[in-house]
Amino acid sequence: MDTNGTRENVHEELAALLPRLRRFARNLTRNPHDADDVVQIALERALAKLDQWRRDARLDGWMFKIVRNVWIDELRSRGRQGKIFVGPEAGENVGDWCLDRQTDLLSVQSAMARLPEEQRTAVSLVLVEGLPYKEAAEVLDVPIGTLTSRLARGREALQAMLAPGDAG
Amino acid sequence: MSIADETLMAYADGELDSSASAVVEAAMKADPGIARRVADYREQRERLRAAYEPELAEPVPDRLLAVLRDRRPAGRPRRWRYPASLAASVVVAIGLAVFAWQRPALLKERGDGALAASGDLARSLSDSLSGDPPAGEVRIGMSFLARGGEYCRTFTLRESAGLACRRGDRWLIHDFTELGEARAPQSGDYRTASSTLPPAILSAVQAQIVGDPLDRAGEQRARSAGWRRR
Repeated sequence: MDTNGTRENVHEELAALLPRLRRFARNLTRNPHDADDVVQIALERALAKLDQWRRDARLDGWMFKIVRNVWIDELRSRGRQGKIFVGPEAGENVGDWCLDRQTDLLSVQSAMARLPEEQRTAVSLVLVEGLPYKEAAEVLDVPIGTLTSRLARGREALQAMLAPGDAG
Repeated sequence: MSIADETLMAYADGELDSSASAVVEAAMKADPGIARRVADYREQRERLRAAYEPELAEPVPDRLLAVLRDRRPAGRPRRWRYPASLAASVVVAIGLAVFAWQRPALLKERGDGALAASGDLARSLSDSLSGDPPAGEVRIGMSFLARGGEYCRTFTLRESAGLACRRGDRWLIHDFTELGEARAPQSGDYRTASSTLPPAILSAVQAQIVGDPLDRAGEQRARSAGWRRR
């Protein structure tokens, strides 16, 4: 059957995506153990609803979205969503404290870890994973203008934390 | 000339169309400060990319690859291996044996030791929707998509309840138990049938279910597809 052939191909594509899924999940969760748990659950979910994936859609974007949804569910079930996720209002200002610490020379990873979640995921999807703005906005379920402004704020905060020319 | 940071950023990321790009490029020529800001964005992009590049070379844990290989989570007990799950559960085995002895028309033993639904049970599993009035003694509780990618349905039969999953063109019985304290739902109560299922069946459902139970439209779609995924 063609369906089986297609499905096997998708399995191979998913296997090839695993390093990027883990990397994205680490940026998302800021914890390597959580990251691998999230990727495992996301793979199971993806396999169960593979028929919902549109062939014309990017598999990486689809998977990043599932990874993020799994993490959101996990945070909800842990009941600590409020502590980790910052609301849209709070998110406007959380990055600002970084601007006061321009003398700190941070590695790229630790600077990223200090970004608020919504800026961190935007930077991670566009600059680390290389998604176009449109795809990244779809992963995050936000309009492209929102994605752009989160990205701009995240980059500004990163720039403030990272010394120019530092090899990171 | 003043250009917003977001526009310069989008230009550096290759997101602007050709006419907008031309405006930015003209501004860059006219104003070294603008050119510098664009260069900063590009430098930052490259720096981020390079900083995270080494992570891609790390070996992927086997438990993640195992999900793709087996389509089952490696780190969890495989409660549902066919047909070993039946042999593994003495309660289920005894319940099924008694049941099969009492109602040979509803169950058929296969060569590999698994039990498949037949007769009224098979017909109800294939044809009835969860809200339907019972056909004969069989009442369908709920339907869902299981981790293995197959459809499963709960059912009650007088004083017993079970879980059947679609395998090929058959319904294999995966769990089966006496209703015990949980009584069969009264008529008019079909929609909440799942809440009256015995704990053993409920926990089997919870271990296997992916997402939510199928709604009526979902059941109709699954039924018209012969309870196969595509």
